Amino acid sequence: VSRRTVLIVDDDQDFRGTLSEVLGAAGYRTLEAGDGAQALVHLEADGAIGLILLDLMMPGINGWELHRQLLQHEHWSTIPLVVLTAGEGGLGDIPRLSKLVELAELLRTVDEYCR
Amino acid sequence: MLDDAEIIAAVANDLPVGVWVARAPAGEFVYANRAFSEIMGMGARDDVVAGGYAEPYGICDRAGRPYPEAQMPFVRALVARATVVVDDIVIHRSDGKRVNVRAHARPLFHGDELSHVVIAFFDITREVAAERVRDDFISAASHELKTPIGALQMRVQWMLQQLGGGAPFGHTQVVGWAEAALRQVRRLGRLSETLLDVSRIRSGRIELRRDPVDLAQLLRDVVARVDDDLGGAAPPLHLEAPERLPGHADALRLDQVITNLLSNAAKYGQGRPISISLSHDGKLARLEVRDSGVGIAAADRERIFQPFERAVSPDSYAGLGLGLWIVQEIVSRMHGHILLDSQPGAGAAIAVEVPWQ
Repeated sequence: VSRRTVLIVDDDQDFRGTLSEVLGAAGYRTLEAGDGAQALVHLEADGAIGLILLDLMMPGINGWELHRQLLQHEHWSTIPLVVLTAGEGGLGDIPRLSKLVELAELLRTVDEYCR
Repeated sequence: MLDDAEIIAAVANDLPVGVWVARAPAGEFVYANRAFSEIMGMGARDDVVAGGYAEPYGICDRAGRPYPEAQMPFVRALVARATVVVDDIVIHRSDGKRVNVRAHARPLFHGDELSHVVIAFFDITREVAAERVRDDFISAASHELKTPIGALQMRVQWMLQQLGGGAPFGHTQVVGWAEAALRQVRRLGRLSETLLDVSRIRSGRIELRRDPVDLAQLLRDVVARVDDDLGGAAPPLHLEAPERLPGHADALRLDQVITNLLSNAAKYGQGRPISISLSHDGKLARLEVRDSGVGIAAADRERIFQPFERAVSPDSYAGLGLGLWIVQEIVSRMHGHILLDSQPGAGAAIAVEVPWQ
């Protein structure tokens, strides 16, 4: 099973698309979700997701709620999660990057989890 | 005829500032005026002294903890032997009301001896609430800026990395990157205009131009552009408009009204189609934007037109809470009005009517 699929969950299509383009060029397969509900659809359909990059503030199922749902699932709760947010909040001990992260650091982090 | 002492007593009692006086050093009660009782929600107690003020008066800090007795204005003025100002006091009144208070505690001297402390209490509840709104706004604005700046920064860093890698790139590819970057810069530009509008509107500095405008064409232009404005997230848009609707107005401000209504509908429309209709009855132009999204509860209908407000949790919907307020301000300056029709869960229709001839 490929470990190099990254699920990007962010309601801002511009940010999501740019991130997907950049990660795609770096050799990752990416999936995009505009909210938690779409993320769950991808998780149901794709067993190869190696990392979830998660925005918190989203309509519908937001990042906090999605995290709660992932924790209740036997397999999804084991998928590494990195919060990528413009706000102040976080998800407890879950690693957190600002949306102003340097590209090199972002790629390093993604690489760490998808190796 | 009142004597001087009676006049002074009457004036002191009627001051719009709470005044409370106690004897030094133990803090036995001497005097309080009417405003003191109004702020505290209770009359002054003559049975409490220094070391026991917090509980009977409900004096707390901003975190809701009992205010430390050693930090009370009375005690601080005794120690400092000078006027002290304390503004982090919150009175938890017995009627449930919370009052933010600023206290000026001033020692009175009899010769060298500090004989009394006079404390003036000011109700600063509104001031504190305004500060909180401002802080929330700054935090929301920084959040709003971070996403497009983050996307732009990522794109530019990536472009540099690609270009520096020595691999050959086609003209089309580089143009594509630059166009995406330009879209992101434009989005930031619009955001900064919105931020500026706050001070423009508040200080009454929005001036409307009167240029020839074809409202139908303007509407079609905005609809064509809105997908870019929303970062590519626009739902299907159904437009019903006459071929032409010429008139005179401020085209940029009208553009802003339409853009805000559409992005609002897209934001709260849960991805479902949005209908837009434009009509004219000879006097008024009517633009209606209807979504099938989360809707607006009756209780929120007034509030959503206030600045920094929105009907739903900020954990779910980002934004500054300014869109509809700006729409309302512009439309009322155009001598028009706004009509709202919505049920929670059944979407919302917002119509704008402006004089159009």
